[in-house]
Amino acid sequence: MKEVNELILKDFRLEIRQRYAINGILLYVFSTIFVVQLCFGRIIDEKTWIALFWIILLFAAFNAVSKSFNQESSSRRLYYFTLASPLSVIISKMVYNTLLMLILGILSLGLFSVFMGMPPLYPWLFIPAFLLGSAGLASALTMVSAIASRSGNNAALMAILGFPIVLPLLLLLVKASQTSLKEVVEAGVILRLLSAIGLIDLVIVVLAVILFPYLWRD
Amino acid sequence: MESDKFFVVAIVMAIIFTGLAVYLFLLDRKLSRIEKKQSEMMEELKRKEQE
Amino acid sequence: MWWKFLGVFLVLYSIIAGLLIDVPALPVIHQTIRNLFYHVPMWFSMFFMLGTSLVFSVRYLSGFRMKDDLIASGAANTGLVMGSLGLLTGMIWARFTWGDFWTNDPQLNGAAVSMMAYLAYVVLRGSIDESAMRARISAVYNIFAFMLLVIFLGVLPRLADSSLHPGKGGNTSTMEGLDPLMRMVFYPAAIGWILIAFWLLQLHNRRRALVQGVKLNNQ
Repeated sequence: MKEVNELILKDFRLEIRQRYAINGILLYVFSTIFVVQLCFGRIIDEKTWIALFWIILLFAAFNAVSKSFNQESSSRRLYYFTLASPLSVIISKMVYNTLLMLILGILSLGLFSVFMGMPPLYPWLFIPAFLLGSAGLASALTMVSAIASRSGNNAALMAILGFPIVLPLLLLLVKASQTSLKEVVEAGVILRLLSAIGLIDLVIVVLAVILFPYLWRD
Repeated sequence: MESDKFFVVAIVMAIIFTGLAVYLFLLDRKLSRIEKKQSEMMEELKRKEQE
Repeated sequence: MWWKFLGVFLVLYSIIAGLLIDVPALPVIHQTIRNLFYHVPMWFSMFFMLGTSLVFSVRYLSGFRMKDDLIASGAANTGLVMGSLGLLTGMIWARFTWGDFWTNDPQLNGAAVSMMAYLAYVVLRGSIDESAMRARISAVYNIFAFMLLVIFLGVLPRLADSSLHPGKGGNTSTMEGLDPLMRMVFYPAAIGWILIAFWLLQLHNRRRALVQGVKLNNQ
């Protein structure tokens, strides 16, 4: 447990030092939202709002998470291997990326509402869905980044591998967001959607934890 | 529905499929021959090494 | 060996019987319902192939034998072929029956995305040169891809609202609604095509084993 915390702190410190990565992502988010605002103006159909929100968040996530496994050179990676168990490594990366995604998400949400207004979203559905969804997307993309990093670090490869894996989660998130546009949502519907998202999250995390050691050894 | 017309289509498709199946079968047989030859060559090599 | 002949026989039977038996008169679809005997077995075969690919990917990860990797990748390739045939025949059927090549059916979209995942698997394999690492990394991705397949074809369609396919989104399930006479042709057709798919897989594997110098079991 302590190992995991240490690793998360390490990633965090690295990020603060090499600020170009996080700056790039922030710039990306800001500029895309600004361009969207230029095209659509303030009057934007609610469904479009949701679609755009998740698309921009998704691409920012791809950008952010693909850097997870690239920052360290392979000699340093061998050093980590001798120190930390692969379980700690993967969990720390997933937690770190989840936090990153949450920050990105809240930021995007803020920018969206500033530029294009905020549609009435039923908070009891939207907020848990957003939290669970960010965790799921982050974990899935972390795993894909791990796979892509062992095969040449091609940016296109990350997108090719990642897109299908991310899609079911994305579909559910969009559906949950659309459902939360209604005034009141019954508890049954909320439960069904959230448990579906939660289930996919669980499957992704479990598979990632089991399979990551196979990727990690050199 | 005139089932005569269907009959014709059925025969045509059956012929096409049988042709493909025969092709697959010949391919299968060719592979078996190559595999057999390969294992015979391996046996030869093993015997020569033991001498 | 015998099962190959059985496969050929069953498919031949389904071709002839499928065109000659009487089918229930359904609105819109009319006689094209006979496509059930040919289009659907493609998907079944794909599923069996990809399942085989999963099994051998897991086997590779537990024993690191190259033979398992060979079969896993061969099965994925064959599965993609069957899936493409299923997709193509489905699109043509849809165009002539319902007017469009593509509809917003969740099972259709799901099948397409699942196949994309396996295409990504092929791309991944192409990008790693060293054979042991390639086997290991692609085996890991294969497991995720199969998970996707299960989610897309099994879980999501049941949650969806409306669908073109039987059993999902409010339609009655295929198995209950299938005319008994059609059933007599459909089951043999499905089994026959699955056997043919395994035959194709076997040929594919044997050829590549010869080329790569890998030993398959039954020699």
